[in-house]
Amino acid sequence: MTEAAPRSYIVTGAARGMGAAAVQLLHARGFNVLAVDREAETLNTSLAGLSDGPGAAVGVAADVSSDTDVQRFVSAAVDLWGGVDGIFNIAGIGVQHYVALAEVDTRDYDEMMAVNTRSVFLSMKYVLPLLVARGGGTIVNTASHLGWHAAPTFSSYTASKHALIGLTKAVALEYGAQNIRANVVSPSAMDTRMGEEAAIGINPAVPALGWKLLADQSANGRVGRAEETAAAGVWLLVDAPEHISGIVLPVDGAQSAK
Amino acid sequence: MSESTKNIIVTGAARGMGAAAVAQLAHRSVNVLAVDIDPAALEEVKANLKDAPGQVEIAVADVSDEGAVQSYVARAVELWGGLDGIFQVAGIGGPEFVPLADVPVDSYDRVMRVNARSMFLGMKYALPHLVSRGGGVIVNTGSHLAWHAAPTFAIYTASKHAVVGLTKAVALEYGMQNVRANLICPSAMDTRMGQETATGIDEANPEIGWQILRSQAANGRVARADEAAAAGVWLLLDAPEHISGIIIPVDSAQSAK
Repeated sequence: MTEAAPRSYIVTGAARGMGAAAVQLLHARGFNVLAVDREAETLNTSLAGLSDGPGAAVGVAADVSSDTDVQRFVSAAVDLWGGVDGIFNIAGIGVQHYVALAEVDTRDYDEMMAVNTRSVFLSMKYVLPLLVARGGGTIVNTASHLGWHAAPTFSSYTASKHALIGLTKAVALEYGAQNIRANVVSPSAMDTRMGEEAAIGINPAVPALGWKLLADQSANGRVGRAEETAAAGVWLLVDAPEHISGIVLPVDGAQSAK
Repeated sequence: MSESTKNIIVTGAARGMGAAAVAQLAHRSVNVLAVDIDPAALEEVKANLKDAPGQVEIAVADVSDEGAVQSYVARAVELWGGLDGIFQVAGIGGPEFVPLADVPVDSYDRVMRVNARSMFLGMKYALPHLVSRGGGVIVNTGSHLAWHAAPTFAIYTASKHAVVGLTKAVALEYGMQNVRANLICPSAMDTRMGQETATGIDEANPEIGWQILRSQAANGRVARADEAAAAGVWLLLDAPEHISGIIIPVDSAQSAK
């Protein structure tokens, strides 16, 4: 008998942390996954660790802030599988230097907005026509607690994630009638490389104190696990009711309830 | 097998979103105590699920009454020896669609009791059982009007805003005891309350009311009761532990506006 082709998803920031966890979850569900990251070697190592499954997991090295790179990886998915059913944008960077706004280097600001925000604009721009052509699909973008709150010395990061939420909500409203849903997962600090950077940024002398401060924000006294945020995103991407769109889904141990 | 069986209370279980939640949970092999004020409709829910893998028991209760809440919580614990979660769906709309100065005080008291006091009581009496079990999940039902407002809905809006406040506070207070508390916020649904709202918007021509409700959503329709229920069931059974104190809108981007 002929089986329906598995669904196909793009995941960015796929080499480690939350992105690698998302690839693993989607691959384990039998989907095709195009795994995008700018670190080719780490990406390939991560993909090599996946067990065999019915779906393909294909790595593409790309800079998500580059227009041509984004067009290239979206085209790759079309070449491989004839289209995509959704995209999970996870790629992003944390604060380069923990300083107040007047001390933020303008090049750092530009890099932040390019990697965290422009990337999401570009990937939605090029994926949306494919989703429309397929009769619908899902977009999940990754913000942060700072996508809807703020913290000192995080100004450009906070701005980049706020902007991402604005883009996502607008797309949810613009493409809802075409059966496209766009949502945001919003993790607090996670047990990832970016979490480590934040802990060091908070207390360069004793990062353990930085970690404690991050964990203390949560009602359960710990930071988020990368696979928890990935799982919430996969739910939005694959399982959530159709009427869920334009929302921010925090994975933050009640931090935003404060 | 019985060790992994979960026991969950659902209020407002006789119809609409509550009945959908009971069905989804029972089909996931969860034991459900279905609570509602309407005995006949409750019996029907139970009868329809007699072949489901989870056991469905019923309790007739006014969820705004302290003694009744104590009784239904005690009943669940008696039946199954413990409690893993509660999904509070029971609530009322209206009753009148008028500006605040015209709202009868009795209506104010009734809506605040049924929509907010009920949630306080359900959590108050369920929490000790969740804590003694080593953790558990609370899901309460808000509304789009739990974090937005609309004219002629002042009291309903206040009651649902109060639910958000209670839920977030519980998430913060009981997080260290592994209790999570979250909120589902549906927009208008294809339920009896949806019908009441459509009629409230345009009494002469409820279809106009439905059109207005549908036009709020990016996909041009109202929510289905089973969609709002499914989001709640995900929170109860499947969501990562780090998800607590949050609002999940089921509103096709209405709140993105």
